[in-house]
Amino acid sequence: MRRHSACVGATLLAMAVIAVAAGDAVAADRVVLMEYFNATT
Amino acid sequence: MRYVVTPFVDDTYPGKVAFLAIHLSDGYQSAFGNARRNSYYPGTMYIPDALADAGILHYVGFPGNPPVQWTNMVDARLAVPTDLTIEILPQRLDPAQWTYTADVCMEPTGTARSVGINLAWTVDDYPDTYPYRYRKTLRGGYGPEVVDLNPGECVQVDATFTFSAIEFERWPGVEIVAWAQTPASGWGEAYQAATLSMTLHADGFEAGDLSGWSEVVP
Repeated sequence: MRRHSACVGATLLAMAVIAVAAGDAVAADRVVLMEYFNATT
Repeated sequence: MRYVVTPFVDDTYPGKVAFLAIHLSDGYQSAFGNARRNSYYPGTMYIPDALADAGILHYVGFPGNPPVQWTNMVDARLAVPTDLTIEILPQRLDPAQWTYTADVCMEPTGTARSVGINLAWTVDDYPDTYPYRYRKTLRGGYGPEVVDLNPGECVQVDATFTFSAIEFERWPGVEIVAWAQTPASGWGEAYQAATLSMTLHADGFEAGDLSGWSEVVP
């Protein structure tokens, strides 16, 4: 049972490491600039 | 503006699009808008003409045309990662003058380069004497100020804007826009943009001006 818990703990730790690494890889959220040239006539 | 722009601005991409309507030759043009038209984007331009992210995508976009012509550009750009963040910080100097700071940061994994920082402001539902609603009309701006950015670093660019009755009468509709783009003139690429609505600063509380408040609790 203890060995199983350790295995689960190691898995969770690995998932956390992967999540952090993925977080580093994810870039900042982009806001798109839209310039719309127009006229009232 | 009519058909496609209003839902496009209001509903389709909340917080994901910084929109400038740059009027040309109709009495509502601005010096900054004319500079975008004549100096930064030399060559043929049409009315209407839509540039996404400083010209990396382009569509001669009549408002009655299918909205997908616009959303295709935005979707394509939203899918491209960026390594910059921008935050706009306001400071009221007096009732008519505000200084805005664009705090532009490059992520630690970013690529060092020079970028052109711009700040501008728009007024929504202006002009309002026509059958159509004109959205996010550019009234003025500053830039591009070219700065060097390195990974993990931030730079600040300030712009002071002087507002008039046109803004005061439509204050909740005033929006500040900042963006970072390729520094050279000509169609290029915008790496990041940001907006700040002045709605939150309508009563002076956010700016520290409590003169309009009847009671102040320390």
